This record gives sequence, structure tokens and C-alpha cells, in this order.
Amino acid sequence: MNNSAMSPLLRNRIQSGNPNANQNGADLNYVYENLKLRANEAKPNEAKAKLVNDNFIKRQTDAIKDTGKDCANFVKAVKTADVNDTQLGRINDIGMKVGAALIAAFLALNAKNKKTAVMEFVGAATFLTSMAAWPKLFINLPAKLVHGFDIDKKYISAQGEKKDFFLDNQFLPWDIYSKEELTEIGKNTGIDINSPNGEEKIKRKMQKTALQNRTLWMATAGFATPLMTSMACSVAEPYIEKGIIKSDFNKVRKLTEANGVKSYIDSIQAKSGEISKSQAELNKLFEGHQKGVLGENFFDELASKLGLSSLSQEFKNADDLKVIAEFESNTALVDELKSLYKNSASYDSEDLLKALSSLNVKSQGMEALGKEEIQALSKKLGGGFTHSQLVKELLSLGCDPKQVAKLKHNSVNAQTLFDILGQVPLKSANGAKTLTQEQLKNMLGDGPLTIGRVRQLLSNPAQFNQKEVEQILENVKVDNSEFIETIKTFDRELGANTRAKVAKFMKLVNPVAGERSLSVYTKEYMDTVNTLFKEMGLTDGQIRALISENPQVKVPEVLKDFFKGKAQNQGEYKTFIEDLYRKVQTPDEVANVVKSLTDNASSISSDVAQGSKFKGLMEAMLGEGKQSCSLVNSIKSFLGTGTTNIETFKSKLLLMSGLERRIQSGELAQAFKDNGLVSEAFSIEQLTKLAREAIYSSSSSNAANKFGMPNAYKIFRDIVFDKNAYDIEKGVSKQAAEGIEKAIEFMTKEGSISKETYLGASNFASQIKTIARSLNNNKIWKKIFVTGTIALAAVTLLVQPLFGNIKKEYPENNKAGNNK
Amino acid sequence: MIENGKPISPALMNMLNKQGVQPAPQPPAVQQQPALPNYEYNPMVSQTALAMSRQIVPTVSAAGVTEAQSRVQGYKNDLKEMLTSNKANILAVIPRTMNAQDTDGNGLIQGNEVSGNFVNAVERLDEMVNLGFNTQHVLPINPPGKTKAFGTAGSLYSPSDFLSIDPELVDENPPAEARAQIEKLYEQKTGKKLVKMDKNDPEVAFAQCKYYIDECHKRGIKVMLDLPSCASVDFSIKNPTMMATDSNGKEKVPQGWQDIRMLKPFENEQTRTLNNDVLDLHKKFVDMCVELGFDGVRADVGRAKPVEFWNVIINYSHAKDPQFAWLAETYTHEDASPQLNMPYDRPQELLEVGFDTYYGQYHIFNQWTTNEDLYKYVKENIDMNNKIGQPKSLIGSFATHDDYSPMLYGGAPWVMFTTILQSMLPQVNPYMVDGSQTGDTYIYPYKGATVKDTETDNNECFVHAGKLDIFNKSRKPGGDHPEISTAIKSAFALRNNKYNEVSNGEVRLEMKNAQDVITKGSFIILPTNNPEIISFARHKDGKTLVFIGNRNVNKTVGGTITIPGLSAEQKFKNLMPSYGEECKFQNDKNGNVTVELGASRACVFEIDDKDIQTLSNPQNVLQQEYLN
Repeated sequence: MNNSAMSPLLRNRIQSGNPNANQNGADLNYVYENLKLRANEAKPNEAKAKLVNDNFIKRQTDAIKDTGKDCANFVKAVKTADVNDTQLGRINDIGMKVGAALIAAFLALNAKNKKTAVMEFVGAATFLTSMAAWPKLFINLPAKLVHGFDIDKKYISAQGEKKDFFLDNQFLPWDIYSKEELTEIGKNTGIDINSPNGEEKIKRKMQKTALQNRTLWMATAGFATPLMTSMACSVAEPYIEKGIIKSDFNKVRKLTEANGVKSYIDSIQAKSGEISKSQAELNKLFEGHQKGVLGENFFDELASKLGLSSLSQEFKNADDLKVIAEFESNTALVDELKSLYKNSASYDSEDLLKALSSLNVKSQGMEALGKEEIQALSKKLGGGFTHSQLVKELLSLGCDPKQVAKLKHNSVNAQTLFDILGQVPLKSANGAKTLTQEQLKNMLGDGPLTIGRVRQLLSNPAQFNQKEVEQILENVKVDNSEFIETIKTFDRELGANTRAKVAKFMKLVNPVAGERSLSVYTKEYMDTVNTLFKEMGLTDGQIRALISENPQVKVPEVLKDFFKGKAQNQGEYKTFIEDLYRKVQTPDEVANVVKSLTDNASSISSDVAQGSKFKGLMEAMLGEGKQSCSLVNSIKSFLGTGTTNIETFKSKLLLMSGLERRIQSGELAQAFKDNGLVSEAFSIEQLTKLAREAIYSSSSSNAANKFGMPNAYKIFRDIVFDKNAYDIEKGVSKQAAEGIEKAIEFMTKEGSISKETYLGASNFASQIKTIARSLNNNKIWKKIFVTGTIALAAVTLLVQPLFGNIKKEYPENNKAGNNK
Repeated sequence: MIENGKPISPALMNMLNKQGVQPAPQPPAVQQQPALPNYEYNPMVSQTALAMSRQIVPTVSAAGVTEAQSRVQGYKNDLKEMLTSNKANILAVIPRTMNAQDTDGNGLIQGNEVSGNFVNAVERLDEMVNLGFNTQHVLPINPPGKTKAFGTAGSLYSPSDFLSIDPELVDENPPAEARAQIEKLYEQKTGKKLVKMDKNDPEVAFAQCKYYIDECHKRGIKVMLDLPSCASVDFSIKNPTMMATDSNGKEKVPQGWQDIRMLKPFENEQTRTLNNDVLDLHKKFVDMCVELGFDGVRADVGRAKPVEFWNVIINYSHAKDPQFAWLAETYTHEDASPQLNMPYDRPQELLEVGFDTYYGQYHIFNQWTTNEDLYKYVKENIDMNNKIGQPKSLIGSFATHDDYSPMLYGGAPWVMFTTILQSMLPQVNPYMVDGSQTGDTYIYPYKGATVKDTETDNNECFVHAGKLDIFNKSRKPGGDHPEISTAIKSAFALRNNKYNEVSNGEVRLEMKNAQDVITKGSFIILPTNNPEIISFARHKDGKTLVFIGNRNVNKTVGGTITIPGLSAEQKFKNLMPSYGEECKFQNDKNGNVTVELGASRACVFEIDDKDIQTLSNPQNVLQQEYLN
């Protein structure tokens, strides 16, 4: 409306009435004040995010669901790259889990045995579990108890993703905590929400507590996770080992119970893949050795490729040289197969030294083999060398190979050595002559050099240095093709199936009697010593002393003291040994399985012996007859040896305890007296000491030397190993009786007895030490890790009350009851 | 005190207090809207005159408009309407650089060089109109703080006084025509004659600002003023009651911005009682805006104030000017704020409380590598609009002053691509920053340099490389790619229903009202087998525009697009300027178009396809509702 006609006076009056009105006439000041009063009619919307309230079970199921989502997101990320930061971050978790599994799988593939392989996965799983469990048990839970809220609270974001509420200390969606929830938390932490800045203080305290706890988690996770993992693994390991042994044994047992061993063996056919693989490996081996001197390594590998090396240990008792010498033709093969069936008996170098030093070796025109050479020889061979090592050294000294070949590993005596060494063409007065390569070639003439020809050369005592000849020969191109052809023929005739059968059968045998693999017998050894140690109640210090190299502390002494203590009360003694033996008893089912396998070992037979170029050798290897070195006999011996070893191992405990009982009761002293052994030279104490040496130290040679009278040692031995004197111990069980009888039989055999043959068990003391060492290491590590874990857990728990202190930030309310 | 609607008697109150019972805090009493003032009856005044007088509002002109409207004939503020109906084409400008004369070419305005001001800024308005811009976002014009400042002129977002204008924006020697108008405006406000254009006289600054705004209005350009969210250190020293502090009494600094301090919107955050001082300050800011003639406000960091605050201020502004528009700088829903001392971002809340339009997430468009990302976001906003129940829009925030120059991502082709794209998207008001019309990279050679002359306590030329300089007096924005302007002109002409006037007759637009199709039409996703091809249609009342573009800045891409109802005879004539590599289109009788698109190419076609909406999969058809 055009009101310019209005008089200025009127206009002025009207305008001055309400200078601040808007076009609708409303007074803007009033409008503004009213709006201020009504400001709170606008409220922020409810948060789109929601807290997750769940329980333990739901959390676990959610964890599985979340892992599924992570996998789906991973696929999405790869295909379309359409994932956000949170989803991408979580993919790392899958990577960790999959990566751990893959690493475990890779390590398991290269593991020495099944237990190690399984432990790789156990380790991976416990590592991941420890990573998750440590914060939950030692940080989140104590924090909740002390501070009254869950620092690991989860929420679902506006985008539908599950996140940790306190993950980012600067990104806390506070509005998803309701006032009621904050009030409750405030009550738990001693802050009144209605006090000045109450809500802010509660939030600040929560934020600080969560941050400090997460920092604590980061600081401790690096230590806690491996500690918990190793503890979990060490707890799990014995059960896993037991499980694996039981599982493997059960497979074999089921086969034996069903009488299925023979049909199983008969059904074994080498797979074409296996055949071609083994053929390829053999070819590779031969290609690498077409020329050059064939050394021990070659034959080690050859034995392995032919599937025969696992039994090489068994041939130590076999008179293989004699057997092989009966074969027709091919001396080259015969010669080399000597190395194939290696003997591994070991000599006591001290004995050898003593034997040699008592001789004054002289030979025509040669200097004496002085003490220095013998000592050098002894030193070089060390305290325990194999037969083949001795042979090699003797050859290198220039001994006659034929003579050396006659050397039986269990029949080295002074005379034999003298015979051999007398032939040694040592440094002559004229000085050693050496052959040049040219001269050697001229000597040998045209044609390929074979090992046989080389050996022939060596067998002739020539006036040249053997070592130098060997060196020259190494440089000379030796054509092994003929020999290799022979081996190939032998391998073909032996047959891939036979080799496969041997290998598969050994897979049945090893779970029971294998030494290196996890086997029932290995476990029994461990259990026996474990039980023994528990019974002995040895302290950690005593165990450490036991396994130390301290010569003052010897296993026999410790055992002696233990059994002596037990034997003092004759009334409780029987109960004690029955109890002990019961704990270490071999179950009957093991014996049944061993019997079944032994009975079925013959199933490995050769169908190719007839018409074979190596008939004799084949029959000897695969037959059962008189040929003690045959494969089948070796398998049987392997099984039997294991059984014997175990039983006699346990029986030795009974012999020891029995001896102490006899000593305590005076029976032994009386027996010595009755048999006239007590004299001025040998008191009862000395005789008792010798008796103990015989039983504990597994050696009788000292006694034999000391007596001086031919029969006195025999009488002494018969008293100590009187089979009737151990009736109480034999009465424990049938196996005990058998074991003790066998032990006594061994000890009373004529001839010198080595530690190894005593009871058929290898060095008892060293076995005890080995097992004790393992047990001790476990104890030490457990101590370290348990202590470490407890210390870390204690620190983690103790610092909890120090967290969340907001006094400095809110000093005006630093009064009791206002905040913590 | 009111309990259950009834007041508590003092006696009862005393008794409760003695027993230690504290009544729960009461909500503020709702007061009745005061009745209209009754004028004193005067028998000398005729009833007719009295009735006429009640229609008069002293602060507005006789036609019932604001002061600004009374200054410019034919001008009326309809910015709120424009924004909510997606009709604004916005250019962000900084008055102190808009028409700065960098004679020595070093990028910095020093010595006798003339910096931008309200008067010389007018010279650029015709250029803006020519391109099709109808709205300006004027970055803050308050005097910057000088203490602990960033840059040699101080940050635009670090005001030392919210209610005055930076004296540096005053032209002390304006041309005659401008001078005359300024003097008139000065006299109207102060009642005094303007003797000297003294920049230190705040009323001179006010008058020159009004002059600038009037010139904008004369050309049909609406103007929004930027409202800083925080204050300078200088302000905080003078107004401690308005500043947010932590529990130790230290002022809160928004993370990363050490030259500014947070305002304190709440007196008591627990009871959500607002800070009257801060509220009053903003009320006065609105008063100032309306007086100066601004058509709306762009609220910097909208989330820095709670919804209760905006509930008061926005409604107050509408009481003054119903079409006063509000643009919120808010991006996306946050569960919590990742920035220390800054509250979380909640766009929907701000829109519900009164903002008309908001920034949105288009500034991360270059990170969306597939078309699905774009379509998902369009749907998200349309759904939010439809949920709110009122028309709300976004700006085409593909590159704001807080973002790196789009030139640095994909050069001029990319700028043209995003310009054309945002011109075609639903619920979007295209938005560009001054300088991008010609491809400014915002790389300033003086970055980090130390200078002798400074207006602040900082001698270092602090600047964010790649972003528009808001810290120093810098050169006029601009680059070397005029072809971008061609694309802007065509795109905005299409939006403004002026396409045929502008097109030079090469391609003729048949439809009469492309603006309606773009601003109100449905958004139809056109399926394609190549995720790098963005293809959609805008359809209304049987009229269809199709956008086809390649978001890959590096290579030509090919694919097949399905356009339901497309005729095999349809010719594809690109309404937009061509640039870069050639594009090829081959359609078949099944409604499929096989395309080969050059890097960053964007094309718009008018197609004859009345049934496209009905024939499309309903899931691909989106419609913003509640539009007028």
C-alpha cells in the first residue's frame, strides 16, 4: 500500500510505537527471547550407533561370524576394492590367522616327526589364542572389576560395522552411552553425575582408564603372548605326544588284531610314482658317481635309496662278512657291500690302548709301532669309534685289506692286532716311495679303473705311502660304470615292490620299537625314568648334579643311595618294588603287537630269488634261514631288541634294588663268606663295592682283573648274579622274572662283556642322563616361563588401581568421595 | 519452580531443601507468545489511518520487503527457495583477492599493489553473470585477528570482531559512480554526509559492502555471507565468557588450527543451556547480514554449534527475512568427531533444525572409483531428504576452498567433467571456487616465504599449497584454461533455461524447460558394464536429458549403456562443449548404446524417450520429493 500520503506526524507516531517489528508486526526482540526459551525444543537425534551388549557365548559366536564377514570383505576388496578402512584393517586379522596356519603347515612339512608337526599347529593356535586371551583375562576383566566398566566395549557404527568403543582415544561416540549407563558407571567410580562437570569427569575417567589399559596391553602383549603360548604348548605337548603314539600304535594294533598284517604286506605295491621317484633318485646318485672314488657317503646314500639303511644297526651282530664271502662272483660288489652293512659296534679306546701298549710290535726291517702311534690312533678314534672307522684307519696305515677284512668287530684282541700291524709297510729305512699319476697309470695299464682293481693294488704291500696313493686315486678318473651297472641289476632284481614292502613294514614297526621316532618303547623309557625320579624324590639341584659333567656325581651313586634307602626296611621293600614295577609295566597288548609283527615279518619275501644273478644274496637278505644278517631276521631282531631293551632296562632297576636288599639283609656278605671269597686282599666291603660296580656300572672287567685267580671271578660273578637270589624281585611279574633271568644270563656268559651287551641295553647311565636332561630342561623352562608369566600378570593386576586418575585435571573436586 | 505443571510453593521448596531433596531441573517455562502491541487509542487518528498504520513495518519498506530489497528495484530475496529447489549456481569468492592487481606477478599483493575490495570486486560481476552464476558465497569479511595469526593478512576464519568489516576491504578512492552510491548509503544509515572514504570508519565499510551487494542484486546474483565458527586469539582475549575452555581453564583449540579458538555455545552442556553471550553475538550477526543485504549465511563448521543454537538463530533470521538461506558446512554422519575439540558431524540434524542445504561428500568424488559409489551417495541424500519431509539440497562440493584444486587431480578436463556432472545431478546446487573457472591450481610461489611487511604478528606467508589462499593478500584467482568457462557457461545455461541463447546454434535444445528436468526431475541410473562410466538420465514430464561421462582421468574407456525405451534412430548430439579425446556413440535397436569416451569426458544429450522412467527398473529410479 502506498502510504506516502500519510502525514509525517502520523507516520512518526506509528513508527515510534514499534521500531523493531518485522513485516508481520511481531516484535523481533520478543521473537528472539521466545526462541531462546524454546531452544531446547530442538534436540540432537538419537545416535545411529549402538552399543553391543552380549555375553561370553555370543561373543564367541560373533567372533566366528565376524571372521566370515572378514573373508567376504577380503574377496570384495580383491574384486572391487570397495572396502573402507575398518574392513581393510580387519582383513589383517585373517592374514594373521591364515599366515600362521601356512607357516605352521610349512614347518610341519619339514618336521622330523609327527609330534613336532602337530606342535607347529598347536603353537600357532595357542599363539593366536594367547593374543586374544591375555587382554581379556588380565586387563579387561580386572579393569572391569576395579573401575566398573568394560574397556573392551564394542559398538555397531552408523555404517553397520562392529568397532571397539575405545579403539581411538580421540574418536569416542559418547552419545551412545545413555545417561543411565553413565550414572551407573559414575557410581562404580565414585563420581556423582549430578556434580559440577560430573558427566564430563566420568567420561574423562573412562577415556583415561581405557587408554592406559590399552597402553598396558601393548606394553605387555609382546611378553605375555609368547609366555602364555609356551606354557600352553608345554602343557599340551605330553598329551599330544601320548595321543600320537597311541593313535599310531592303535592303527598297528588294529591291523594285528584283525590278522591283517600279512595281507597288508602282500597288498603293498610300489606306486608308479614311487618307483619312478626312487629310480630317478638312484639314477641321480649314480650320475654323480660315475667317476671317482666311491666313499662312505655313497654307500650311505645307496643303502638309503635301496631302503635298507634303517636296518643297518641290526647288522652289528651279524656275521655279515662271512655271509657275504660265501656269495659267488663279483668281488667288487661284495667288497662294497661290506660298507653297506656297516657295523657300528664301538670299542673302548682305553681297552684298546691298554691291549696295544702291552705289546711290543716289531717286524722285519720296520720300526716298532710305538706308543705314540698307538696313542695317536687312539686319540684320533676318540673314546668310541665304529668298526668301519677302525678299518679305515688301519687301511690308511697300510694294513693288508684282506687281513683287515678278517677283523671281526667283536673279536679284536691283542693277537689279531699284532698280526695285522705286523704287516704294515711303515716308513722303511729307505724312505717312502710315492707313485705319480703317470706311474700309476702305467702300472694299471689301459682299461677302466674299477674299485676292485684299486683294491687289488692296495692289497699288495708296495713300498709307497698309502695315504698318498689314496690321494692320487682321488684325482685319477675311476670309471665306476661296471660297478654301478651291477648295483642297478641288483636293484632291479630286488624289486621296487620288495623295497616298498620293507619301507611300509618298517612304518608298522617304528611306532612300537623305533628309537628315533615317537614309539611306544621310547615313551616307556621316558615314563620309566620319570616314575623313577618321582619315586626318588630328587630335588632340582640333585637332578642338575646328576646330569652335569661333574665326575664326582655319577648316576650309579645316586641310584645306589636311593635303592639302599629303600632296602633298609625289608618289610616295606616288597611293596615298594611291586609298586614301582607296576607303574612301569609294559601292557600286554604291546607284547601281542610285537609278537604279531615278528610272526609276520616273513611276509616280506622275495619272488625274484629264483633265477636271480644274486640268488645267494637275495636269499640271505630276504630269507630267514641261517643267514643271521637277512632282512627278515634283522626286522625280527629289531623288534625283539626293542622289547628286550625295555624289559631289561626295567629289570635292571630290580637287579639294583635286589642287590641292595641282599646287602642290607647280609645275604650277600654271607654268600661271599660261604664261598671263600673273603680274604685279606678282598674284604666284604671291597667285594660289596665290586658287586655294586658290576650291577650299576655294567662292567665286569675291573673285577676280572682284580681277582687274579681264574675261578675266583667266576665264583664272584655267580654270587652276584645268582638267579635264585632275586626271587623276591622276580616275583613282581612274569616280565620281571624273564627280564632278570635274561640279565643274569648275559652277565654269566663267558668272555669279556662290554657295556653295550650287558642286558642288551645301551649305556644305562647315559640313557638316564639323556632323559633326565630332557626332564630337567623342561623343568627349567617351565620355571622361567611360569615365573615370568606370574610376574607379568601380577604387575598387570597391581597397576590397575593406579589408572584413571583425574585428580590433576579436576583439582577443584579433589575431595574424598567425589572422584578417584 | 514448576512441578507437574504447577508452581511449587516456597514453603514446600524450603521443606524439600531441608530434607536434602533437590527437585529435578525443570525445563524452561514456555512463555506465551506476547500479543501484538496495542497502540494507544487516539481519537484524533482515524480508524482508516490506524488500520493502514498497522500494515507498516518501520524497518522495512512500504512494499513489505527488507532494507536491501528497498535499495534495489526489482530485487527480492528468494535464496532459500533457490537452494531448496536446486536452482542456485554458486561461486565462492574472497573479496580481498577477487580483483586484486598483482602487477609484479609474484602472487602476493604488496606495497602499492591494489588488493581486492568491495568496489573493484564489482568489475567481475558481469563476468560471473555471463557464465551463469546466480549466487555468491562470500568468504568471511570480518577483520582477521593479528595475534598468533597464520599468514601475513590473517586467516579469514579468525575474526577479531564478528560485527564489523575488515577495513582492508574498503576502497579509499572509488570511481565517481560508485562513490555517489556509497555516499548515499552512508547517509541513509548515519544521517551524516560522507566526507572521506576513511577505511577506519566502520560505517564506510558497511556502506561499501552494501554497495557491492546491491550491485550483485542488480545483476540477479544472491549473496551469502560466511559465518566463522571460531574466533581469533584477539577476540578470545576480549571476550572470555564466550570462549570454550577445558577443565584446566585452557582455551580449546580446534585440532590443526592454532590461530583460532572455539566458541562456547553452551553455558551448561549437561542441561544443554545455551550461552547467551554467544547467542546474542550471532543474533547481531544476523541483524548485520540482513541490514547489509545478504541473502543468507554459510555457517562454517556447522557442527561447532548444537542444534538448540541453530534452532534459535535460524528461526530468528526467518523472522527477519523468511527467505534468508542457510548453508551448513557439514559432510557426513559421524559417530564421533575425529577432530579434537570439535563436535561430531550430523548433517541430518542440521537440516532438520533449519539449514536449507549442506556440503555433503562430493569433495571425495575423486576417490569414488566406480559409478556405484556415486549412485549410492545420490540415493543416500534423496532418502534423507524424503525422510526429513522437506526439500533439502546439497552444493556441488566437488572442490571447495578447503580442498585441493581439481586441476591437480585431472587438469582442465577433470574440472569440466565435474562441472558438467554437478550441473546434472539431482538435489545439487553447482558450486565452484573463484579461480577454477579458468583452472587455477592455487600454487603460490611465495609459500613459506618470509616478508617484511605483514599485517599480523607472523612474517611467514603461510598457505596450503593447492588450496585457495585464505591467509594472505594474494593475486586475483585465475588460471590459463578459458575452455573451462565455456563448459560452465553451457552447463549453467542448460540449468537456467538459456541454453539456446548461449549455444551458438550448433546444437539446439528442443525441450522448453530443462531447468525443471534438472532441478525437479527423477534420477534414473542407466546400467552399464563399465564401472568407470557414469550414466544416468534426468526425466520429467516426458522430457529426458542423459548424462554420460568417463570418470577415468587417464584413459579412454568403452562400454555399453542400456537406456530403456531408446529409439534406434536416436541421434546423440552433445549439448556440452567437446574437449579432450573424441567420444563415440553407437546405439542399437535394443536400447543399448555402445560408447567410447575419452578421459574425463562428460556429455549431455537430449533424447526423445518419454517412457524411460516407466521402462526402467524401479530400483534405478530415484525421486527427490517435497519439491515445489
